[in-house]
Amino acid sequence: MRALRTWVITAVSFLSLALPGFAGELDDFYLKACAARPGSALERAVLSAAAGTGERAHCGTPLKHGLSRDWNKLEGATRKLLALQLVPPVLPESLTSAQGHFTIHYATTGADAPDLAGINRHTGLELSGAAQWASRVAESFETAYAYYQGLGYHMPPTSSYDVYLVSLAALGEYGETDDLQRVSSPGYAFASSSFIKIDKDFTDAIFQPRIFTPLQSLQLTSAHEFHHAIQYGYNFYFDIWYAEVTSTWMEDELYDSVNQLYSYLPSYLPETDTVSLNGPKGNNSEYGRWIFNRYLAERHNTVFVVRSMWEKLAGLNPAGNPVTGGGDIQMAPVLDSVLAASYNSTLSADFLGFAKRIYTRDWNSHVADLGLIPAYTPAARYLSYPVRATAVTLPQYSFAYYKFTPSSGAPNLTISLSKTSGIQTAVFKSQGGAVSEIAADPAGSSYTVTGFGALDPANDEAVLLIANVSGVDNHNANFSTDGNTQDSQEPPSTSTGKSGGCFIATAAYGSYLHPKVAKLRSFRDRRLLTNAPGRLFVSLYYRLSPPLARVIGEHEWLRGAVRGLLVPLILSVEHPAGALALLSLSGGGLAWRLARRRCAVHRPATASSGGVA
Amino acid sequence: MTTRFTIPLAGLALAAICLTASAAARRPAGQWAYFHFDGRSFSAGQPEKGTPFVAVRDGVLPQVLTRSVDSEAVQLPSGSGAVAGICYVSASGGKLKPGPGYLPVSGLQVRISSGGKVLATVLSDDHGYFVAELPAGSYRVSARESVEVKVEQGNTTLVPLRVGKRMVD
Repeated sequence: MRALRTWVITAVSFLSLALPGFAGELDDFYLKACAARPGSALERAVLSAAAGTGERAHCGTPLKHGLSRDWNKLEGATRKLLALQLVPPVLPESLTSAQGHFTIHYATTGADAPDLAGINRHTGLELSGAAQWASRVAESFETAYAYYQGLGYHMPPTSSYDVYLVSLAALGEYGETDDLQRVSSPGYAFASSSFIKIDKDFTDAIFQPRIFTPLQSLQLTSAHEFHHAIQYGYNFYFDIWYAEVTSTWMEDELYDSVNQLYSYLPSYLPETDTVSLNGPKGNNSEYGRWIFNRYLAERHNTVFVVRSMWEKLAGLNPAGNPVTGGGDIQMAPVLDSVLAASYNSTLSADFLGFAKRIYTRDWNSHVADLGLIPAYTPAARYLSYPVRATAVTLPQYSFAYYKFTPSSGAPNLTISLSKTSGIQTAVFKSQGGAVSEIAADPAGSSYTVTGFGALDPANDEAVLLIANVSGVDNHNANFSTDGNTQDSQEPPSTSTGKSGGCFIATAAYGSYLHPKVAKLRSFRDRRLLTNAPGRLFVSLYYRLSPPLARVIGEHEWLRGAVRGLLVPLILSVEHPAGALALLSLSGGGLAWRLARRRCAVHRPATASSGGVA
Repeated sequence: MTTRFTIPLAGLALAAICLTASAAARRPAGQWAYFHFDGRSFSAGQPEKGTPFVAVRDGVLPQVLTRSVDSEAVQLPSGSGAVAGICYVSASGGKLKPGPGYLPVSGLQVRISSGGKVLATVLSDDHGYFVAELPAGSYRVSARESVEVKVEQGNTTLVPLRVGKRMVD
C-alpha cells in the first residue's frame, strides 16, 4: 500500500513537471503572459485548491505585436484559447495618428483588409493602399478627440488609443467599444481603459440604407465610439441608455450635416407611451432617445449640461447607488441630482418640458433639420363626444398624447382628470397652425378648451398630454369629457412585477432585495417551477396577488401582520426537516390532548352508568 | 372547544398549510433542477436547444450541460456546498441589428477567496461556465469583477459574473 502511494505521488509529480513541456516554448510564453492558464498543466483542472494570488498580466500592445508575428508557430489549441482570451484583435499593420492620440491597426490582406476599390467607388477618393485609408481613419478620430477635448471632456486614460479595422459587416455592426482594464485615478475611481473596433471600410450594402458614404459612416462611427471610450474613462458602470443617448447626440453635434441620427427617432417617438426614457435597450429606441439631450441643451442653453452628467457619474460608486439589473449605476437619479444642484430644475420638470416640446416643436437649434423630427403620435384619437372615462397607465418617464378633433357637438371641450402623484398633464390647442397651452382650472383637475366646436376639424385640434414624470412604473390617470372620472390608485413604490418577485412578500418586507424575499424567490425557482403543480400555483399566485400586495404595501400595520404570517412559511422553506419535526410533535401533542379530552368526556358517563349499575 | 385550544390549533393549521404547500411543491428527491443564464441572471428552466445550462440538485455537485441527460451525481462532501457561474461580457446596442446581449468568456481564471486569502481558482470552460465545491461559508468570487456569495451546505449558489462590457453599434 505504501509503495503504491509512493508510486502515485511520483507519477503525479512527474506529470505536473512534464505536461507543460508538451506545449511549445512559445505557447507557454504567450499563455503565461496573457494569463490564459495557470502555471502548471495540472492547475488547468477544473478546480485547484491552492492558486496563485498574482494579478493577471495585461496582454498589451507590444505583446500583441509579438503574438501576431508568432501566431502561425503556435499550436491550434493555444491559438483557440488566445483568440478567445485576447479580445483586441491581432492585426499585422499599425499607424499612429498625426497628433499621436491614436494607433490604427489594420490589415493589407485577408478578410479584414479594406476594400480600396469599394471605398474609391463610393467616395471618389483615389486611395492606392490600405495605409492611406488607415490615415483617414486616424484623422477622423483626431477630429473627434479635438472636439470632445474642446468641450472639456476628460479624455480616456490611455496615451495612445487603439482602434482596429476589422470586418464587422457580417455582424451588422458599425463599431464596438470594449472595456480593457480598470485604470483608477483621483476623481475617476472606476474609470476603465478601452479599445475600439470599427468596420474596415463601410462599403458593404448594409451600411448604406440611404445615402451614407463610407466617409460619413466613418465620421459618425468615430464620433460615436470615441465618446463611448470617454464614457468608460469616467466610470465603467455607466448606464447603457444614457451612453447611447449621449454618443448618438454627439454624432450630430460634431457632424451636423450627416443626420443619420434622425433615422432612429421613429424607433422612439411613436413609442413614448410604452418605452421609458431610462429604459433598457430595445428596438433601437435607445438611439432615438438622443433627442432628450438636445432638449436639455436647449432648455439650459448649454451643451455642457450633458458633460455635467458624466462628471457627476465619475465620482459615484456602484456599491452606494441605485444600480440597474445589469449592475450599472442608474442614470436617472444622476440626471435629477445634477439638474437640481446646478440647473435649478429636476428631471421630472425637464422630462415634462421635453414631452411638451415633442408636440409644440419649438426647437431652437439645428433648425434646418426640424423637418426630420417626426410629428407627435397620438395614443388615441377622438371624433365624437362625450369621451367616457378612460384609464391610462404609464411606465416611468414616459408620456402619451390624446387627440380631440373639433366637433360642433362639443362647443366647449372640458377634459376632467384624476391622476396619481407621478403624473403631470397639459392640454394644447392648435388653431391655424398656432399652438397654445391651455391653463388648468384652479383645482388642477380639468381643462376647458373654449370655442372648441368652432375650430376647423381638418386642421385644428385639442391635445391632452399625460406624462409619468417619476421613476416609478404604473402611475396612472383617468380622463373624460363628461365630467365623470374614476379614482386613480397610487402604484406600489417598489418595482415588483418586472423583477419577477413575490408580490406579497415584497410588499410586506418593503424590498425585492430583502433576504427573506430572496429565500422565497429561490424556493419558487428551485422547487415550485420544477413541477407542474408548482407552476400552476405560481401562475395563480401571480394573477391573484398584485391587488393584495398593493393594499399591503399601503398600510404599515398590515405589512407587519403579513410578515408575521409569512414566518411559518419562510421557516418551513429554510428548515423543512425541522418544520416537519415540529409539525409532527405538535400534531402528536394535539392528538394526545384530544385523546385525553375524549377520555375525560367519556369517563364520567362510564362512571355514571357504572354508578347506576 | 375552549378558547385555549383555538389559538394553538389555528397556528398549527397555518403551519400545516404552509408545510403541505412546501411538501407538495417539493420536487422528488434526486431530481435535477435546471437554470440558464439570460444575459443578466440565472432563470429557472432550460434554454433553447444547444445552449448550456446548469443542473443543480441538493447535496450534489452542479453540472453544466447542453442537454438534459441522466447524468451521474457526484455527492458533495458533508458540510460543503457549491458555486456554479458564468463569466460573461455584457454586449448592448446594435444600430443595424440587435446585439448578442452577452458573450461568454472562456479560459478565464476565477478566484474564490475568503478573508483576503485565495482558496481556489477555477477556469471558465468553453461556454464561460465554472463550478467549484466549497465548504459552507461566505466567499468573494473574482475574475475582473467581484461578487460576494454565500454557500450553504448541500446547496448550489449561482453566480453571474460580468467581466466586461461591450458597446455594440
